[in-house]
Amino acid sequence: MTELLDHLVFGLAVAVSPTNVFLCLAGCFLGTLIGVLPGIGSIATISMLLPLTYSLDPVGSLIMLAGIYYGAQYGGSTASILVNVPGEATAIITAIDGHQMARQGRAGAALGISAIGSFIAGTIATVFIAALAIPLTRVALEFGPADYFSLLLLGVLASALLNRGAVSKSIAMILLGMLLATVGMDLETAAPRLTLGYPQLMEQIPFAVLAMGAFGLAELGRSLETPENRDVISKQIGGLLPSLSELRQSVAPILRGTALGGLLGVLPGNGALLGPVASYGVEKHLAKEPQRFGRGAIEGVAGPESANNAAAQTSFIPLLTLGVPANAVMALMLGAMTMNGIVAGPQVIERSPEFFWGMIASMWIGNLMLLVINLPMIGIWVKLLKVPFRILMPSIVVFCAIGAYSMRNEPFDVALAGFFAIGGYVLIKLGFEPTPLLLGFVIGDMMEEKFRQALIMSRGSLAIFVEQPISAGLLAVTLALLSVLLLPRVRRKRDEVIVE
Amino acid sequence: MGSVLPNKDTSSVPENGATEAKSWVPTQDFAAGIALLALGGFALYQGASLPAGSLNAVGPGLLPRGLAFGIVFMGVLIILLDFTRPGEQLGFVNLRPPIFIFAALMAFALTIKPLGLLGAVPITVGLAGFASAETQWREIVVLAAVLTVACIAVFGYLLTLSIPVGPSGSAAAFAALWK
Repeated sequence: MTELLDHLVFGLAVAVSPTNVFLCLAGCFLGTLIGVLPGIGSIATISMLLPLTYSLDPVGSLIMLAGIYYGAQYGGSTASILVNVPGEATAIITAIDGHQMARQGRAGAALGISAIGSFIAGTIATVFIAALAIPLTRVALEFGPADYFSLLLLGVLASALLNRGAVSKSIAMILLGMLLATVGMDLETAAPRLTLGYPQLMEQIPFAVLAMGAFGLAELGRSLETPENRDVISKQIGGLLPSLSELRQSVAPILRGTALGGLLGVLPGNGALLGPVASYGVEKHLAKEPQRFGRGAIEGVAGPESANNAAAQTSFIPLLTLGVPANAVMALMLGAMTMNGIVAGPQVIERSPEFFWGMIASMWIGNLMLLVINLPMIGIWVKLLKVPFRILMPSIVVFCAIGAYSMRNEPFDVALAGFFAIGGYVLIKLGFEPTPLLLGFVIGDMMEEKFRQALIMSRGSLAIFVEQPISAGLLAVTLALLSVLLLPRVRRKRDEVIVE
Repeated sequence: MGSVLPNKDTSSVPENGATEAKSWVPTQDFAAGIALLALGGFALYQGASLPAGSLNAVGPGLLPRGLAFGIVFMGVLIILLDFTRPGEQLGFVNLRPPIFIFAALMAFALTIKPLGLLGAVPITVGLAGFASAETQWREIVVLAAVLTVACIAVFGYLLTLSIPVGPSGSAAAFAALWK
């Protein structure tokens, strides 16, 4: 226990350096700024802001990114409460009762309880992560290359299969992502692979450019398709502090939401989405008058929002301890770590403790920032929500272009982002999800490296993957998962849960 | 909560029933499978010259080729599954937003070195303006002017990114005026 405290204090010392506090603040602010725009989810937000962190040191860059993530999440809730256009799946649940509260003139209380709930959830989740980190990394340190390969395979398959969309299409996207990751110089032989003759592609497709194009700009294109129809609450926002009775009503939902979200968030795939859904269901079930739900019940905001935030935090666990991203946002984080020269995995905690603990402590600081800066600034976000999209859109395109250019001072990267934007848009239209593509891209390199290392160890025998006990166990779990998901009954159930 | 989600509704797709068989609309999955075949095939063609090596000494071509075959396989599988159980038809694709976003980015890529932010930002804003059907041109002109000034101030001078501000050579010419 004292060890845990020591680590958190050490991390806090890193995170509260003036630069890092500023970066966290800037990240939260910018994340909210973009995330609050209707129709733009946190994945699109992070991918568009990714170039900003390029020139920072690793700790600062990840702290800022995490800030952007929390900001984007919070902005998403703000948008769904005030406009009923949830920026992303996780905010849909908040929109149900949150928007109703806003229509009754209680938007302030909804926003307030969502910030308070998120803060409490974030605090608990931070301690949870810190406590789990060391035991988990100890296990992972035993892993050899073959075990690692199997773990990555399980991770990427599980997160793709537990996502929305058809299983076959998800697998195709993983493969395509891994194929895109092979573009560039081969790690061992230095042979150029699939570069189409462009020297700019020798050092791999820049991760931020792919993410910005296929997630950010493609999403922008899709949201322009339908004419704008925003129903911004014109009623007054009302006091931001929930009343004492509302607070009392919310305490138990917040704690239950935190527990549910925190546990589900560790799962690969849509863990972060299942949290709010589960929490809403539980609150409705436990409520004395369930008919209040859907008509502005504060528990329907407090619980899911806390679950959402707790899950957002705990989904860092697989990434920070094992180096396996649990979902698209974590894939973005992993990409940013790689960009900064940090090799993700259990060794991070030993090799760069200031990065590891600083990052964990900054999660808590980020949550505090959201509470401190966003509640007083709610008026600004409301004004921003009233700016028509046709004005915001060209501005976003220009900022993206500048961002893509300035990473390497390379106009080619801007054009590449354009290609990925079109490609991403077409893939969305063909019913593919971009998330598995990104996971495949981020994990592809690592998998190839481990695969080759394992084969070198075994002198070319594939048997190593089933002879090593850990690897064999992980492969068995992967197979079991695949076959279970192919059972028609389970598949229907999965679709029900996920589509909901 | 289902009502908030964009439901996969087939009702918005024009009914191209058997009676009016003039335009055949492929199902989404059929088109998706074809796209995968094309992508995988392209990768196979591009990577054909890379040596795959052996399991003893994996060459640079093994993984790209394996993945490309995998993609082709998934493409075939998706098409076959679609034949056995036809899915929804390909939805309406409005290419206007992505094409103009693409054009705006291409224009930025081509103009940033020769013209700097001063030239690239207004051109990019103008092209991006075409992406939305609701664009009002007076707004776009004002927006382009404001963004150009703001970008030069913030990115050129405040953050001092090494991004060209004006047309190449203009800084030297400007400095020469004061000699």
